[in-house]
Amino acid sequence: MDERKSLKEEKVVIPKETVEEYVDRAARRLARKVKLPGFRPGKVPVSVVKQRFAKEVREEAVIDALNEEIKKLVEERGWRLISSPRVKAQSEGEDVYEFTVEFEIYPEIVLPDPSQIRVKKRIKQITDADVEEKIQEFKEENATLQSVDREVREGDVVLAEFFTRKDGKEGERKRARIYVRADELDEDLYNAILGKKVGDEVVLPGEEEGEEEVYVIKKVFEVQYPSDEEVAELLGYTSPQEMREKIKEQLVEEAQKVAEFELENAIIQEILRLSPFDPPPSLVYQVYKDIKPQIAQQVPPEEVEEAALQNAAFIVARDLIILKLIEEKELDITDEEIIQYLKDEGKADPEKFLEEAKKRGKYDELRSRYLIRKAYDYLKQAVQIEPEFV
Amino acid sequence: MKLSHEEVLIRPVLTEKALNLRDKYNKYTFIVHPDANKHQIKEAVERIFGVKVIKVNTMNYKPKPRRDLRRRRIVGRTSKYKKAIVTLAEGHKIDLGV
Repeated sequence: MDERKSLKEEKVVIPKETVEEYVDRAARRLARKVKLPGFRPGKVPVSVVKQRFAKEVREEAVIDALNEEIKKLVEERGWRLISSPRVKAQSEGEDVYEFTVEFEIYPEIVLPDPSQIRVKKRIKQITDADVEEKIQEFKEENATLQSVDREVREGDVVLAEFFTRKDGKEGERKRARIYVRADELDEDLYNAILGKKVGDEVVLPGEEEGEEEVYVIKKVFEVQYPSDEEVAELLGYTSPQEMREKIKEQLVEEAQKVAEFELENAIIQEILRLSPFDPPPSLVYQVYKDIKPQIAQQVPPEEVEEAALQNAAFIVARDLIILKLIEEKELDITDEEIIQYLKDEGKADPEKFLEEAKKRGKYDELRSRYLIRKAYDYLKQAVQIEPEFV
Repeated sequence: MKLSHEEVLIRPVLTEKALNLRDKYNKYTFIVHPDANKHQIKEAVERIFGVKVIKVNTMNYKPKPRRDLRRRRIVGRTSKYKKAIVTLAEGHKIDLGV
């Protein structure tokens, strides 16, 4: 039997005479619930219940017997169930009842020897161009528009009136804001609008035959970006040089975080490749429901379903691997280690933070978070890492 | 009125009260034909169940108006019936299936 699978199907056979042993108990239980004219609630004698509700009593007895058999089977196999077993099919023979039961269990995870795992750690090198790009982003966020009386140039913002025209008939007029940038604007409109002035018309062929799209230029704005000095001041730095240094530090830190995260995922992927197992569907479904809205914002609608399922399956597998590692290596974490992790994350007063967590009943949550962190650190130390600068 | 034994005994009464009477005092309750008398009931029980009857108490229930609670009006009457409580001699039992 493949223990790496989380779904298992078993045939459970219950002799009818075994069911008889459960009939009395089932009838007593049912007697407490049934309502029968002539009897106060809960006062119907068991013998009357057995006679009047023979079918229901039998069904209850069969369920009791089945549950008992399932319990025995699970103990025998040493399975750890994730969800309630599900009866997929049932049939009644002359002397027996037969059930096909599906069990969802924690799969057997065999962790490979970490020293045999080789992964690449991709680290993004931060260049001056990256810093300038970041500064340009700040500049664009804080740019102002200056109305100008000249022809349209690259980088301008044009306020125009837009309408369609066909056979001399004009459609509804709408206001449009056009960002005149070669890499953003439709090529035909970009080429047509360059060099035009306030009051000029730009006419392009419309979607339908004989239709024209008309843009009447109302205003031309020049985008004025703040200078390096102004951006530095806005961001709270004393000089552009300090701003560049600090931004570079931040970008390097971010790149390191991304590299660490990708490295952790790469290690898990490698473990999964060397020792594959099926993540349990019900756990995958729970995670899938949680992450679907987030995924929907990142991928096209037709890909959401598949991407969310794939991600959820990976998250469940990852968590099971980490839990297995903690269990197998008997990893534990002390308060001192938690404090160190908090310090590394830049917490101002980690000791106080830990005490507060204990008072508010958040200690277990904090402890498990950093125990997982420790497990990842263990893996990162144990595997062979090959740095790759990109 | 001449009635066969099967016509006399209509059905046993299986209620909490009737079962208590049976278990505590060996008294069995039946719905019987409204025209059956105590002698006929005694004979019918003895013949059908093969037991010894020492006493028969009977009571007649008159028809009652039957109400339709939703429409708040009387829609007919329930049937009249006769109930008999039959006391058996010690050691005699009737198997009612419960």
